[in-house]
Amino acid sequence: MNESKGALTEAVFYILISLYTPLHGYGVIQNVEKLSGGRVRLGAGTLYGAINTLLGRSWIKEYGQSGERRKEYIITESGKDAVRAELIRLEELLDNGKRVLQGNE
Amino acid sequence: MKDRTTKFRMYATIDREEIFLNDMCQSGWKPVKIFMGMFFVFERCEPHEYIARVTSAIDPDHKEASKKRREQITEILTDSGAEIVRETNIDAATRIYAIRSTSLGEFEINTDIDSLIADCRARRRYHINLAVFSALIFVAAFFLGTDMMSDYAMSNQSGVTLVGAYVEFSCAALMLVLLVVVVIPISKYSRKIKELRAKREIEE
Repeated sequence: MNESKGALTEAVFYILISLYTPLHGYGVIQNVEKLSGGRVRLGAGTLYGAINTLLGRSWIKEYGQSGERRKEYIITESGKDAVRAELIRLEELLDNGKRVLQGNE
Repeated sequence: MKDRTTKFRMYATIDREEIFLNDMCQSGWKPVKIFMGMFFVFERCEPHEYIARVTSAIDPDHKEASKKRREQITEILTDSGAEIVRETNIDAATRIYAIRSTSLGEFEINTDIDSLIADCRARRRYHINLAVFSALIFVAAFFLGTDMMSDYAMSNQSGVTLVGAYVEFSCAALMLVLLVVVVIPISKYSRKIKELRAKREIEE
């Protein structure tokens, strides 16, 4: 994952779109699995690393009271910008890929 | 029929420990307690009922406390149905031992290349810490032993014995063996990190 709004990893993309509603760690794992139809299963280490990176970039923030046992997270405006930028990138990839394949078939 | 058994094992790497724990789980023994990193207590379970995972919670970059990392990973693991068998709380060797029922599906702690790289770096950091520790003790014991030998030679063998020097040299030899044992995995982990980084350039 680049500091600039470059390509996001699949895990990061799914975590960000999961956090449009506040969720705690395991909630994110469950939501990502559901969104991807069971294809993407995040491990605890993967989720922990991604959450810390995203907090560091202010793409997500803690949600609710700080004293609560289970920390919940929510996406920030800059996180939403990153998702929008990623969708534009993915659309470009898709369009270019389709165009080249259709021209060759 | 015995429902509990204790095994004594010493492994140079977490990888080997994890293989041993999973071999036991497959034969119908789940780990319930680990003490001194060498004594593993198992309880009978159904064969293949559990999957065991061991992860290092050391931050290889020393940017954050291992304790915070360990607590948060442990929280996610328990929420996802895993049982924590043991958490070691020594900052230079923080580890989490967890098991989870196979009925809950696959059990992996690190599922993407970045976290696999971070885990390998943490495991390598543990070995580097241990290598530095054993090298320092080796040097200290070796020079103390040499010093005692020269004291013995200078004193014309009157009233001074070589027992202390032998103890120091034995300690130095032990540390040298430990150094060799812990240094070998460092290159293994470095190779693995390189491979993962190469893989990372073309896929996630």
